[in-house]
Amino acid sequence: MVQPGLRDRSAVIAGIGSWLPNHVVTNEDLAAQLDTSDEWIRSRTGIGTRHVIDEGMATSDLAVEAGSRALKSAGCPDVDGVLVATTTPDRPCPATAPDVASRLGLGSVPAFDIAAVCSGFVYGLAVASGLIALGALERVLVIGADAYSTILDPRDRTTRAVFGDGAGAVVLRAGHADEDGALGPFDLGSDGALADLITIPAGGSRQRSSPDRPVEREDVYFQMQGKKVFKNAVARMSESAREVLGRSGWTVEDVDHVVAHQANQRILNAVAAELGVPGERVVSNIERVGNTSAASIPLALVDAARSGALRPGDRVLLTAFGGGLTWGSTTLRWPDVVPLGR
Amino acid sequence: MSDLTSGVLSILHSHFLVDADVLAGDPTLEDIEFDSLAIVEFATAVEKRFHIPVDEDELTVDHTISQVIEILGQKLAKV
Repeated sequence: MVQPGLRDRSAVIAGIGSWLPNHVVTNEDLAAQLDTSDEWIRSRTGIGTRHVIDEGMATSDLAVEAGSRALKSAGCPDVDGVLVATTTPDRPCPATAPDVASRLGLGSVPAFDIAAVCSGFVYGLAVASGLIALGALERVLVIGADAYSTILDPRDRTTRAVFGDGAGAVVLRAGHADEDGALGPFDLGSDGALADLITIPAGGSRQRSSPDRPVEREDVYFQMQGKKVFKNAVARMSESAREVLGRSGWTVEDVDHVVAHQANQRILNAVAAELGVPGERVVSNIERVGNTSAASIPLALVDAARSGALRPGDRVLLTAFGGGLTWGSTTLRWPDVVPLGR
Repeated sequence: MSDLTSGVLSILHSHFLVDADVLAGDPTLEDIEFDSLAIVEFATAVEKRFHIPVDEDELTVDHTISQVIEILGQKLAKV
Protein backbone atom coordinates (compact mmCIF):
# COMPACT_ATOMS: atom_id res chain seq x y z
CA MET A 1 0.00 0.00 0.00
CA VAL A 2 1.25 3.46 -0.86
CA GLN A 3 2.25 5.40 2.23
CA PRO A 4 0.30 8.54 3.19
CA GLY A 5 1.85 11.65 1.71
CA LEU A 6 3.07 9.87 -1.41
CA ARG A 7 0.14 10.85 -3.60
CA ASP A 8 1.35 12.18 -6.99
CA ARG A 9 4.88 11.09 -6.16
CA SER A 10 6.55 10.08 -9.42
CA ALA A 11 9.91 8.99 -10.72
CA VAL A 12 11.61 11.87 -12.54
CA ILE A 13 14.62 11.65 -14.88
CA ALA A 14 17.45 13.55 -13.20
CA GLY A 15 20.36 12.54 -15.43
CA ILE A 16 21.17 10.50 -18.53
CA GLY A 17 24.32 8.99 -19.98
CA SER A 18 25.45 6.49 -22.60
CA TRP A 19 28.54 4.71 -23.81
CA LEU A 20 29.61 2.87 -26.95
CA PRO A 21 32.73 0.75 -27.29
CA ASN A 22 35.49 2.08 -29.58
CA HIS A 23 35.49 -0.72 -32.12
CA VAL A 24 33.26 0.10 -35.12
CA VAL A 25 32.18 -2.63 -37.54
CA THR A 26 31.07 -1.33 -40.94
CA ASN A 27 28.86 -3.10 -43.46
CA GLU A 28 31.95 -3.50 -45.63
CA ASP A 29 33.69 -5.29 -42.75
CA LEU A 30 30.78 -7.76 -42.59
CA ALA A 31 30.71 -8.17 -46.38
CA ALA A 32 34.38 -9.22 -46.22
CA GLN A 33 33.42 -12.15 -43.95
CA LEU A 34 29.86 -13.09 -44.92
CA ASP A 35 27.61 -13.35 -47.98
CA THR A 36 26.20 -9.83 -47.66
CA SER A 37 26.71 -6.28 -48.91
CA ASP A 38 26.31 -2.70 -47.78
CA GLU A 39 23.27 -2.32 -50.07
CA TRP A 40 21.63 -5.54 -48.75
CA ILE A 41 22.08 -4.49 -45.11
CA ARG A 42 21.05 -0.87 -45.59
CA SER A 43 17.93 -1.68 -47.61
CA ARG A 44 16.68 -4.26 -45.07
CA THR A 45 17.71 -2.61 -41.83
CA GLY A 46 18.83 1.00 -42.37
CA ILE A 47 22.06 0.17 -40.51
CA GLY A 48 25.47 1.39 -41.65
CA THR A 49 27.74 0.77 -38.65
CA ARG A 50 27.61 -0.80 -35.20
CA HIS A 51 30.00 -0.77 -32.24
CA VAL A 52 31.26 -3.99 -30.67
CA ILE A 53 33.31 -4.75 -27.59
CA ASP A 54 36.80 -6.14 -27.88
CA GLU A 55 37.93 -9.47 -26.44
CA GLY A 56 38.11 -9.29 -22.66
CA MET A 57 35.29 -6.76 -22.21
CA ALA A 58 31.82 -7.61 -20.89
CA THR A 59 28.37 -6.08 -20.43
CA SER A 60 29.23 -4.75 -16.96
CA ASP A 61 32.05 -2.67 -18.47
CA LEU A 62 29.53 -0.97 -20.78
CA ALA A 63 27.08 -0.55 -17.89
CA VAL A 64 29.65 1.04 -15.58
CA GLU A 65 30.66 3.58 -18.25
CA ALA A 66 27.08 4.56 -19.06
CA GLY A 67 26.08 4.51 -15.38
CA SER A 68 28.92 6.81 -14.34
CA ARG A 69 27.92 9.30 -17.03
CA ALA A 70 24.29 9.24 -15.91
CA LEU A 71 25.35 9.86 -12.30
CA LYS A 72 27.55 12.77 -13.41
CA SER A 73 24.71 14.13 -15.56
CA ALA A 74 22.44 14.02 -12.50
CA GLY A 75 25.01 16.03 -10.56
CA CYS A 76 24.83 13.67 -7.61
CA PRO A 77 26.99 10.55 -7.23
CA ASP A 78 24.57 8.69 -4.98
CA VAL A 79 21.58 6.48 -5.65
CA ASP A 80 19.88 3.92 -3.42
CA GLY A 81 19.17 1.27 -6.06
CA VAL A 82 20.64 -0.07 -9.34
CA LEU A 83 18.79 -1.96 -12.06
CA VAL A 84 20.55 -3.40 -15.10
CA ALA A 85 18.38 -4.48 -18.02
CA THR A 86 20.32 -6.94 -20.15
CA THR A 87 20.11 -10.10 -22.26
CA THR A 88 23.85 -10.63 -22.01
CA PRO A 89 24.74 -10.70 -18.30
CA ASP A 90 28.43 -11.18 -17.54
CA ARG A 91 27.59 -14.69 -16.33
CA PRO A 92 24.41 -16.79 -15.84
CA CYS A 93 24.77 -16.33 -12.07
CA PRO A 94 24.88 -13.95 -10.26
CA ALA A 95 23.20 -10.88 -11.76
CA THR A 96 25.34 -8.14 -13.31
CA ALA A 97 23.78 -5.21 -11.39
CA PRO A 98 25.49 -5.84 -8.00
CA ASP A 99 28.91 -5.86 -9.69
CA VAL A 100 28.05 -2.62 -11.53
CA ALA A 101 26.84 -0.98 -8.30
CA SER A 102 30.00 -2.03 -6.50
CA ARG A 103 32.30 -0.75 -9.24
CA LEU A 104 30.42 2.57 -9.29
CA GLY A 105 31.18 2.92 -5.58
CA LEU A 106 27.51 2.82 -4.61
CA GLY A 107 28.01 0.66 -1.53
CA SER A 108 25.45 -1.93 -0.49
CA VAL A 109 22.42 -0.60 -2.39
CA PRO A 110 19.85 -3.10 -3.70
CA ALA A 111 20.84 -4.15 -7.23
CA PHE A 112 19.30 -6.64 -9.62
CA ASP A 113 18.91 -7.43 -13.32
CA ILE A 114 15.83 -7.08 -15.49
CA ALA A 115 15.35 -9.82 -18.11
CA ALA A 116 12.96 -8.51 -20.77
CA VAL A 117 15.33 -8.57 -23.77
CA CYS A 118 14.89 -5.46 -25.97
CA SER A 119 12.02 -4.19 -23.77
CA GLY A 120 14.28 -4.35 -20.71
CA PHE A 121 14.94 -0.63 -20.37
CA VAL A 122 11.23 0.27 -20.36
CA TYR A 123 10.52 -2.60 -17.96
CA GLY A 124 13.37 -1.29 -15.78
CA LEU A 125 11.91 2.22 -15.80
CA ALA A 126 8.54 0.79 -14.75
CA VAL A 127 10.01 -1.26 -11.87
CA ALA A 128 12.13 1.65 -10.63
CA SER A 129 9.16 4.03 -10.91
CA GLY A 130 7.08 1.66 -8.83
CA LEU A 131 9.74 1.42 -6.12
CA ILE A 132 10.06 5.21 -6.04
CA ALA A 133 6.29 5.84 -6.08
CA LEU A 134 5.91 3.39 -3.20
CA GLY A 135 8.46 5.30 -1.14
CA ALA A 136 10.81 2.30 -0.99
CA LEU A 137 13.62 4.13 -2.82
CA GLU A 138 14.50 7.79 -3.50
CA ARG A 139 17.00 7.61 -6.36
CA VAL A 140 17.53 4.71 -8.75
CA LEU A 141 20.09 4.16 -11.51
CA VAL A 142 18.45 2.28 -14.41
CA ILE A 143 20.90 0.95 -17.00
CA GLY A 144 20.20 -0.79 -20.31
CA ALA A 145 23.39 -2.59 -21.37
CA ASP A 146 23.94 -5.32 -23.92
CA ALA A 147 26.84 -6.96 -25.70
CA TYR A 148 25.07 -9.00 -28.38
CA SER A 149 28.35 -9.54 -30.21
CA THR A 150 29.04 -12.18 -27.52
CA ILE A 151 25.90 -14.22 -28.31
CA LEU A 152 25.65 -13.96 -32.12
CA ASP A 153 26.43 -16.85 -34.45
CA PRO A 154 29.54 -15.68 -36.36
CA ARG A 155 28.06 -17.30 -39.49
CA ASP A 156 24.66 -15.57 -39.26
CA ARG A 157 24.66 -12.68 -41.72
CA THR A 158 21.29 -11.37 -40.54
CA THR A 159 21.80 -11.03 -36.78
CA ARG A 160 25.40 -9.89 -37.17
CA ALA A 161 24.23 -7.08 -39.43
CA VAL A 162 21.45 -5.98 -37.08
CA PHE A 163 22.93 -6.00 -33.58
CA GLY A 164 25.55 -3.81 -31.92
CA ASP A 165 26.86 -3.38 -28.37
CA GLY A 166 26.32 -0.39 -26.09
CA ALA A 167 24.78 0.96 -22.90
CA GLY A 168 22.58 3.81 -21.79
CA ALA A 169 21.42 4.84 -18.33
CA VAL A 170 19.19 7.26 -16.46
CA VAL A 171 19.08 8.38 -12.85
CA LEU A 172 15.50 8.52 -11.57
CA ARG A 173 14.69 10.58 -8.47
CA ALA A 174 11.51 10.98 -6.47
CA GLY A 175 9.54 13.98 -7.69
CA HIS A 176 6.10 15.16 -8.65
CA ALA A 177 3.95 13.94 -11.54
CA ASP A 178 3.64 17.50 -12.89
CA GLU A 179 7.37 18.01 -13.38
CA ASP A 180 9.21 17.75 -16.68
CA GLY A 181 10.96 14.39 -16.68
CA ALA A 182 8.24 12.63 -14.65
CA LEU A 183 7.55 9.21 -16.14
CA GLY A 184 3.89 8.87 -17.02
CA PRO A 185 1.69 5.81 -16.99
CA PHE A 186 3.15 2.56 -18.26
CA ASP A 187 1.75 -0.10 -20.53
CA LEU A 188 3.57 -3.44 -20.26
CA GLY A 189 2.77 -6.80 -21.81
CA SER A 190 4.07 -10.23 -22.81
CA ASP A 191 3.23 -13.28 -24.93
CA GLY A 192 5.19 -16.35 -23.89
CA ALA A 193 3.48 -18.50 -26.53
CA LEU A 194 5.84 -16.84 -29.02
CA ALA A 195 9.02 -17.33 -26.96
CA ASP A 196 10.71 -19.20 -29.82
CA LEU A 197 10.68 -16.17 -32.14
CA ILE A 198 13.63 -14.61 -30.26
CA THR A 199 15.70 -17.07 -28.27
CA ILE A 200 18.97 -18.68 -27.21
CA PRO A 201 17.74 -22.29 -26.85
CA ALA A 202 20.63 -23.70 -24.80
CA GLY A 203 22.41 -22.68 -21.63
CA GLY A 204 19.40 -22.53 -19.32
CA SER A 205 17.70 -25.23 -17.24
CA ARG A 206 15.76 -26.50 -20.29
CA GLN A 207 18.86 -27.37 -22.23
CA ARG A 208 21.94 -27.11 -20.05
CA SER A 209 25.23 -27.09 -21.90
CA SER A 210 28.02 -29.06 -20.24
CA PRO A 211 31.21 -30.85 -21.36
CA ASP A 212 29.60 -34.30 -21.07
CA ARG A 213 26.29 -33.21 -22.60
CA PRO A 214 27.06 -31.10 -25.68
CA VAL A 215 24.25 -29.19 -27.42
CA GLU A 216 23.66 -28.41 -31.08
CA ARG A 217 26.11 -25.77 -32.27
CA GLU A 218 23.46 -23.22 -33.27
CA ASP A 219 21.53 -23.63 -30.00
CA VAL A 220 24.15 -21.73 -28.01
CA TYR A 221 23.61 -18.68 -30.22
CA PHE A 222 20.93 -16.01 -30.41
CA GLN A 223 18.22 -16.93 -32.93
CA MET A 224 15.51 -14.72 -34.39
CA GLN A 225 12.65 -15.42 -36.81
CA GLY A 226 12.88 -12.11 -38.62
CA LYS A 227 9.58 -11.98 -40.51
CA LYS A 228 7.39 -12.98 -37.58
CA VAL A 229 9.32 -10.66 -35.29
CA PHE A 230 8.81 -7.79 -37.72
CA LYS A 231 5.06 -8.35 -37.83
CA ASN A 232 4.68 -8.69 -34.05
CA ALA A 233 7.00 -5.77 -33.31
CA VAL A 234 4.99 -3.37 -35.43
CA ALA A 235 1.65 -4.57 -34.07
CA ARG A 236 2.66 -4.65 -30.38
CA MET A 237 4.55 -1.35 -30.28
CA SER A 238 1.70 0.41 -32.11
CA GLU A 239 -0.97 -1.04 -29.80
CA SER A 240 1.05 -0.35 -26.67
CA ALA A 241 1.82 3.21 -27.79
CA ARG A 242 -1.87 3.90 -28.39
CA GLU A 243 -2.75 2.43 -25.00
CA VAL A 244 -0.27 4.55 -23.08
CA LEU A 245 -1.19 7.69 -25.02
CA GLY A 246 -4.80 7.13 -23.99
CA ARG A 247 -3.82 6.71 -20.34
CA SER A 248 -1.67 9.86 -20.56
CA GLY A 249 -4.55 11.86 -22.02
CA TRP A 250 -2.45 12.60 -25.12
CA THR A 251 -3.32 12.19 -28.78
CA VAL A 252 -0.85 11.17 -31.47
CA GLU A 253 -0.71 14.83 -32.53
CA ASP A 254 0.47 15.81 -29.03
CA VAL A 255 3.64 13.72 -29.34
CA ASP A 256 6.77 15.67 -30.32
CA HIS A 257 9.08 12.64 -30.46
CA VAL A 258 8.52 8.91 -30.70
CA VAL A 259 11.53 7.07 -29.29
CA ALA A 260 10.91 3.44 -30.17
CA HIS A 261 13.27 0.53 -29.65
CA GLN A 262 15.77 0.84 -32.49
CA ALA A 263 15.09 -2.64 -33.86
CA ASN A 264 15.28 -1.96 -37.58
CA GLN A 265 14.64 1.25 -39.55
CA ARG A 266 11.81 -0.44 -41.43
CA ILE A 267 10.11 -1.38 -38.16
CA LEU A 268 10.44 2.24 -37.02
CA ASN A 269 8.93 3.42 -40.32
CA ALA A 270 6.08 0.90 -40.09
CA VAL A 271 5.25 1.86 -36.47
CA ALA A 272 5.22 5.54 -37.47
CA ALA A 273 2.91 4.79 -40.40
CA GLU A 274 0.61 2.68 -38.22
CA LEU A 275 0.38 5.43 -35.59
CA GLY A 276 0.11 8.22 -38.15
CA VAL A 277 3.21 10.01 -36.83
CA PRO A 278 5.21 12.02 -39.39
CA GLY A 279 8.67 10.57 -39.98
CA GLU A 280 10.48 13.67 -38.66
CA ARG A 281 9.03 13.03 -35.19
CA VAL A 282 10.51 9.53 -35.04
CA VAL A 283 13.92 9.50 -33.38
CA SER A 284 16.42 7.22 -35.10
CA ASN A 285 20.11 6.56 -34.56
CA ILE A 286 20.09 2.99 -35.86
CA GLU A 287 22.15 3.89 -38.92
CA ARG A 288 25.14 4.55 -36.65
CA VAL A 289 24.72 2.06 -33.78
CA GLY A 290 22.46 -0.76 -35.00
CA ASN A 291 20.06 -2.55 -32.65
CA THR A 292 21.60 -2.39 -29.16
CA SER A 293 18.71 -4.20 -27.45
CA ALA A 294 18.10 -2.85 -23.91
CA ALA A 295 20.50 0.05 -24.57
CA SER A 296 18.72 1.33 -27.66
CA ILE A 297 16.17 3.72 -26.11
CA PRO A 298 18.57 5.54 -23.74
CA LEU A 299 21.21 5.70 -26.51
CA ALA A 300 18.63 7.23 -28.87
CA LEU A 301 17.51 9.69 -26.15
CA VAL A 302 21.09 10.82 -25.51
CA ASP A 303 21.76 11.29 -29.23
CA ALA A 304 18.52 13.23 -29.76
CA ALA A 305 19.11 15.43 -26.72
CA ARG A 306 22.74 16.15 -27.63
CA SER A 307 21.78 17.07 -31.21
CA GLY A 308 19.24 19.57 -29.87
CA ALA A 309 16.29 17.72 -31.40
CA LEU A 310 14.96 16.87 -27.94
CA ARG A 311 14.32 20.03 -25.88
CA PRO A 312 13.06 20.51 -22.33
CA GLY A 313 9.27 20.33 -22.24
CA ASP A 314 8.97 18.25 -25.44
CA ARG A 315 6.44 15.46 -25.17
CA VAL A 316 8.10 12.08 -25.67
CA LEU A 317 6.62 8.62 -26.21
CA LEU A 318 8.86 5.63 -25.44
CA THR A 319 7.86 2.23 -26.81
CA ALA A 320 9.77 -1.04 -26.90
CA PHE A 321 9.40 -4.62 -28.09
CA GLY A 322 11.57 -7.66 -27.56
CA GLY A 323 11.97 -11.35 -26.94
CA GLY A 324 9.59 -13.00 -24.56
CA LEU A 325 7.72 -11.69 -26.31
CA THR A 326 7.63 -8.52 -24.25
CA TRP A 327 6.61 -4.95 -24.95
CA GLY A 328 6.14 -1.74 -23.04
CA SER A 329 5.56 1.99 -23.38
CA THR A 330 5.54 5.15 -21.31
CA THR A 331 5.38 8.92 -21.80
CA LEU A 332 7.18 11.93 -20.36
CA ARG A 333 7.94 15.59 -20.97
CA TRP A 334 11.67 15.90 -21.59
CA PRO A 335 13.51 17.38 -18.58
CA ASP A 336 16.24 20.01 -18.54
CA VAL A 337 19.16 17.61 -18.14
CA VAL A 338 22.66 17.54 -19.61
CA PRO A 339 23.10 14.29 -21.54
CA LEU A 340 26.56 12.77 -21.33
CA GLY A 341 27.47 10.21 -23.95
CA ARG A 342 30.10 8.75 -26.14
CA MET B 1 -11.92 -6.63 -61.92
CA SER B 2 -12.73 -8.33 -58.60
CA ASP B 3 -12.61 -6.42 -55.33
CA LEU B 4 -9.64 -8.56 -54.33
CA THR B 5 -7.70 -7.77 -57.50
CA SER B 6 -8.39 -4.06 -57.33
CA GLY B 7 -7.60 -4.07 -53.59
CA VAL B 8 -4.26 -5.83 -54.06
CA LEU B 9 -3.29 -3.53 -56.93
CA SER B 10 -4.32 -0.53 -54.86
CA ILE B 11 -2.13 -1.66 -51.93
CA LEU B 12 0.84 -2.21 -54.25
CA HIS B 13 0.30 1.16 -55.91
CA SER B 14 -0.41 3.33 -52.86
CA HIS B 15 1.60 1.55 -50.15
CA PHE B 16 4.56 0.28 -52.16
CA LEU B 17 4.52 3.00 -54.87
CA VAL B 18 4.54 0.54 -57.80
CA ASP B 19 3.44 2.13 -61.11
CA ALA B 20 0.18 0.87 -62.60
CA ASP B 21 2.02 0.27 -65.90
CA VAL B 22 4.45 -2.07 -64.17
CA LEU B 23 1.63 -3.94 -62.40
CA ALA B 24 -0.14 -4.44 -65.73
CA GLY B 25 2.79 -6.60 -66.86
CA ASP B 26 2.13 -9.13 -64.03
CA PRO B 27 5.62 -8.93 -62.52
CA THR B 28 6.92 -11.18 -59.76
CA LEU B 29 7.28 -9.68 -56.29
CA GLU B 30 11.03 -9.72 -56.83
CA ASP B 31 10.57 -7.70 -60.03
CA ILE B 32 8.92 -4.95 -57.97
CA GLU B 33 11.84 -5.13 -55.51
CA PHE B 34 10.06 -6.93 -52.70
CA ASP B 35 12.24 -8.54 -50.04
CA SER B 36 11.12 -10.74 -47.14
CA LEU B 37 10.14 -7.77 -44.97
CA ALA B 38 8.14 -6.18 -47.78
CA ILE B 39 6.15 -9.43 -47.96
CA VAL B 40 5.35 -9.07 -44.24
CA GLU B 41 4.26 -5.46 -44.77
CA PHE B 42 2.13 -6.50 -47.74
CA ALA B 43 0.57 -9.42 -45.82
CA THR B 44 -0.29 -7.08 -42.94
CA ALA B 45 -1.94 -4.59 -45.31
CA VAL B 46 -3.96 -7.39 -46.95
CA GLU B 47 -5.06 -8.74 -43.56
CA LYS B 48 -6.32 -5.33 -42.56
CA ARG B 49 -8.16 -4.68 -45.80
CA PHE B 50 -9.77 -8.07 -46.37
CA HIS B 51 -9.85 -9.46 -42.80
CA ILE B 52 -8.18 -12.72 -43.83
CA PRO B 53 -5.17 -14.14 -41.99
CA VAL B 54 -2.11 -14.17 -44.29
CA ASP B 55 0.95 -16.12 -43.19
CA GLU B 56 3.94 -14.34 -44.69
CA ASP B 57 5.56 -17.72 -45.37
CA GLU B 58 2.82 -18.51 -47.91
CA LEU B 59 4.08 -15.80 -50.24
CA THR B 60 7.52 -15.70 -51.84
CA VAL B 61 9.31 -13.16 -53.99
CA ASP B 62 9.04 -15.62 -56.91
CA HIS B 63 5.24 -15.34 -56.99
CA THR B 64 3.73 -13.16 -59.69
CA ILE B 65 1.02 -10.66 -58.78
CA SER B 66 -1.61 -12.90 -60.39
CA GLN B 67 -0.37 -15.88 -58.36
CA VAL B 68 -0.54 -13.79 -55.19
CA ILE B 69 -4.12 -12.81 -56.02
CA GLU B 70 -4.97 -16.48 -56.67
CA ILE B 71 -3.54 -17.56 -53.29
CA LEU B 72 -5.40 -14.78 -51.50
CA GLY B 73 -8.58 -15.60 -53.45
CA GLN B 74 -8.50 -19.19 -52.17
CA LYS B 75 -8.16 -17.90 -48.62
CA LEU B 76 -10.96 -15.41 -49.08
CA ALA B 77 -13.24 -18.15 -50.42
CA LYS B 78 -12.76 -20.14 -47.20
CA VAL B 79 -13.80 -17.27 -44.95
